[in-house]
Amino acid sequence: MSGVNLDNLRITNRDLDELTGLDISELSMGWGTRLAVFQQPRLRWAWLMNQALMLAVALVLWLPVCLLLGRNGMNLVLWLFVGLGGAIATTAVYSGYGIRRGRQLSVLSHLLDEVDRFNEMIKAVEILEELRQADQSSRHLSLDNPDAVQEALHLTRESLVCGLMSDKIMRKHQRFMARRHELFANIETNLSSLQTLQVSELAGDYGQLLNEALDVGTRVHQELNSHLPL
Amino acid sequence: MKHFAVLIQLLRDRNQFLDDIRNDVKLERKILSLLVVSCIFFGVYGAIIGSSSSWLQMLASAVKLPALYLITLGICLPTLYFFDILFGSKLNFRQYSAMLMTTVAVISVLLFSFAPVVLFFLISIQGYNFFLLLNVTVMGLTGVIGVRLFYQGMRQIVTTDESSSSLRNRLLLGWLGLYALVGSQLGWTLRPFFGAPNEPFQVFRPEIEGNFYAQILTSLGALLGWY
Repeated sequence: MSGVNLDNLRITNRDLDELTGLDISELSMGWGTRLAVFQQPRLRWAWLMNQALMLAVALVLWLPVCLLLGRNGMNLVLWLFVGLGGAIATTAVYSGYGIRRGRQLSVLSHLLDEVDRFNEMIKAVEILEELRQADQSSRHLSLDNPDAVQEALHLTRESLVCGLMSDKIMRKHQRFMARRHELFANIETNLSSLQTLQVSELAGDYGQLLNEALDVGTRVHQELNSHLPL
Repeated sequence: MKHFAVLIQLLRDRNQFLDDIRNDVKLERKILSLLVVSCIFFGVYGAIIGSSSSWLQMLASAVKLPALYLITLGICLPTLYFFDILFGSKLNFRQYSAMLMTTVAVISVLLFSFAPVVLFFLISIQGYNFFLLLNVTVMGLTGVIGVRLFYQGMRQIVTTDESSSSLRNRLLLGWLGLYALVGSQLGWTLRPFFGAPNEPFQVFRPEIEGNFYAQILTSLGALLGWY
């Protein structure tokens, strides 16, 4: 695999943004929170930090407004609690919406985890290659079948890209897909209508043929009658 | 989310950032990140100016200074958006929000960059009026730079025909005047940010008479020995 650049196999963040049509980061996919956030401690801390920052922003916006509203009255403490409550509620709604949206995008979330693993795999292969170049004599550092590995990576990439694109299409037509029962019912009705139409058309054809046959028969009969001596 | 990466992207390649706003690329993330970093920078600067008085004032100013800039933005944003679309703009509300957040973020970064200077004068000179005027100058300067960048940015991203262009430029200038008025009056309403010497801590001053400009003249007069 010497001299082969694996960089073009790596699925970058820009690729992910284009393939999914969403803003993808370690923690989020669009407005949704990635499910991996709740499985890895490092990401969980980053997510909690992000929520703390959101709470700080909400406090900055809620507290002065509420305190201004209560400045002339006696209930300054009450307004302080209203401000605190409002800020906490805003953060909770923001977080809740992110988690809910993330659950709706669970398939995409799993695909993105696979993409992360794939990128890590590429990194590992690159490191192995660098080590092999540093120590040419060492045989245990080289891959047994580098071409097969590259081929496997290529295939994996294609599968992941295909999966991400399919997911994007499914999401794009989500409302359409959600109506699938209604659609199937419609298709069934349409098929029945078509069959009925076909039968009636066939019947019509048969009737026409019969009419034509009768007509021909009548004419033949008339012709025969006119030529035959009475 | 990497909030600071968005800010660095804005500072390093402003034209690309404006292109992203024009093309409506990832604006939710940009708005959110700029909101977070602006709050942090304004909060730090607010804490520095508040620390000239007391630690309670420091906490209050750390919350009030970001609120001043962000609430002013929230008050003035609908006016800009509705007037602009009325006169032919094709931008959406998200794009206007992103443009204004860009301005506020630039102002916050500039203020933050002045923080060591202000801190130095806070430690080395014990003069309320001097400190007040120094900060007003710094805030005025950063505000003018931020607003100028906003004006240039708006002219860059909005593409309309010539006839409506001059009208919209005048409208934008008028809006900037309104923004300055609302900002200064809200600053007056949310005061104190510094905390006057020999006065107890107050979240807000009880009296709401007077205005920002009269106070600046008074401070300038006191500094020059007129009063």
